[in-house]
Amino acid sequence: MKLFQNETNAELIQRYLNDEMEEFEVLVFKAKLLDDEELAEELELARQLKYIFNFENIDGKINLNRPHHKSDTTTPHGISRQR
Amino acid sequence: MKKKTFTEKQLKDAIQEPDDPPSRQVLNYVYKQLFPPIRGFVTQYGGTSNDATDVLHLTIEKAQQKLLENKYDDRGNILSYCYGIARYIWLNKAKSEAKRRSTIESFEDYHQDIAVKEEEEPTDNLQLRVLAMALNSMKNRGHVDLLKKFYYENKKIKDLAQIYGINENAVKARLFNARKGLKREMNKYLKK
Repeated sequence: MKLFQNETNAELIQRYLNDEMEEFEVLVFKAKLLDDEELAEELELARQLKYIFNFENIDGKINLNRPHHKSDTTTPHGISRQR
Repeated sequence: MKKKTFTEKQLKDAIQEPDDPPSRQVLNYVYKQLFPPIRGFVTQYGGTSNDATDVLHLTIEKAQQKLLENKYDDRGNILSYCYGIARYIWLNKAKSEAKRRSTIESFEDYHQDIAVKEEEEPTDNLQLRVLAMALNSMKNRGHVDLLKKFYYENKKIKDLAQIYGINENAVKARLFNARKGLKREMNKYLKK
């Protein structure tokens, strides 16, 4: 069962990435409520990937110990940082 | 933890079925065993005894849920497991509070604290580190680039189809393969 009947998981993820959807935790909660473990996992991965590329070096490697990019506004918990 | 007077099975049964009459005595024991260390931890991280009580109730609920879903690893000790859950709950709450106050320094402290704990509940910090290692070691850099474009740069499927000169279904297939490769790489580190 999908979170919304007319959307694929990929479309949902894309809307989430574009900040068009409600809070992350609510989405995951709904996904789990509907036993859609696959979507819950994909959302979790999307949230982390959305965040982790802020730490990319010029050589394309991720270094979590370096400062964030200035464009970084979102933590993996979906909470915006103050600019 | 003090020496137990109930078996693991009795403790688990009581947590799982708290409304059963025989569970009451066992649950009292569970609460008595768990409250002092939880209160100590909560107050150490800026909470009060009332907060500790809330955390304890949430912990029992969470443990019950895990048991009902068969997600509890029988090789462990249920009281230690509950204590791990309690710490996870409180650190998450404290972390949110630290963020709310925009005190990044304390947030980092809490975050670091989480990283060294919790066998039962993988933390974001640990998961992020595994994810970073997996991305760095992926041999197919094209997949990494695609993941970045989709998840970080918010490129839409149709945009990616134009960029790569392929149709949208092919983009979806590549994304699927990229995620699969990433998960495979993450599993290598998780097994270590």
